[in-house]
Amino acid sequence: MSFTPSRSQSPVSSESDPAVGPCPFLIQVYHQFHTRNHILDVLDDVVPSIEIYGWMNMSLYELGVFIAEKILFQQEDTKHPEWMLQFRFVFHDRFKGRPSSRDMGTICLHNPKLFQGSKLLKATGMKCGDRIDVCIKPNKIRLRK
Amino acid sequence: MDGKENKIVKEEHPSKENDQVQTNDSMDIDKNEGSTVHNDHADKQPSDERKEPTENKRSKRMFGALLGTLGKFQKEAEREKQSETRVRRAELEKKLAKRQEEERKELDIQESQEQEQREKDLAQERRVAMEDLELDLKDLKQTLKKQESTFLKTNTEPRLYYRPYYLLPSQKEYLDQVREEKD
Repeated sequence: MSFTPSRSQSPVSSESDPAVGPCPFLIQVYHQFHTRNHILDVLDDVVPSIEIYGWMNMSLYELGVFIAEKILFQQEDTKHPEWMLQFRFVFHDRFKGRPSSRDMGTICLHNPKLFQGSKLLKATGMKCGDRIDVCIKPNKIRLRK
Repeated sequence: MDGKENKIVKEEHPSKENDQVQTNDSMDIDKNEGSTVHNDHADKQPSDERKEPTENKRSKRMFGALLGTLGKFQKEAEREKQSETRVRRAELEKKLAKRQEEERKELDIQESQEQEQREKDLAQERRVAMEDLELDLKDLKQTLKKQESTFLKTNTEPRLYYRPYYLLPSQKEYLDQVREEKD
């Protein structure tokens, strides 16, 4: 019986094998226009949410693109790149014993280099199982003078 | 005797009252041309004075009339000049107003052209940004599909990806099959 030499691709503990790549995991994304959701609403799953497959060495801009495809590009009036997305992840803090949140960063869909567009998920401190809360705001393109 | 002498003296030296009577009579020169009694005494002194005031007055009147006409002509000439200046000023103001209107129109046209150009550039930027976004989305979906051929999926809903440390032969076959289908 021959075994193929492969390494465990658990997204929590193992490093990504360049031949295999990082393992995608499911992220629960709660979204709201112009404002943020309350932490308890996010944890109680009261507000609208979508499910997205992401991976740890994914940038915030790439995550924003997946979110935009499911939320913004479904209607014609919102199908344009002039949007700004503010991310934060919500988790239950074991040490404090209460729900907590942490800001991940902001991205603009029309320019991946603006703000924290190139910041990786693993650099934000997020772990598999944390929920993401996104605040979607309009952001107009400004011409360079 | 004395009374007669006094009477004579009085006659020789006529009083002022008689002079007045005589000056009044001197005005009516044409009527009393023949009478010499009045002229001998009264006309000697005031005769030049009678001629001078009348001529002076006439000349003064004529001079005054001349001056008046000259002044009139002067005033008319000044009025004409003012009206000319008024006309010129009005013409200048009209020209200025026309020029200002033209400049304003040109500025408006320029601004509208710049605005149109800016909107065109913005629309172009939006189009380019949207195309880039769609390309990025396409690339990300392809990356996700590649990972589907590398990782196994659970049968539960929602499906989760996993890959054991050691793959079973059946699992390896399944992954190879998925890879071949995608290729």
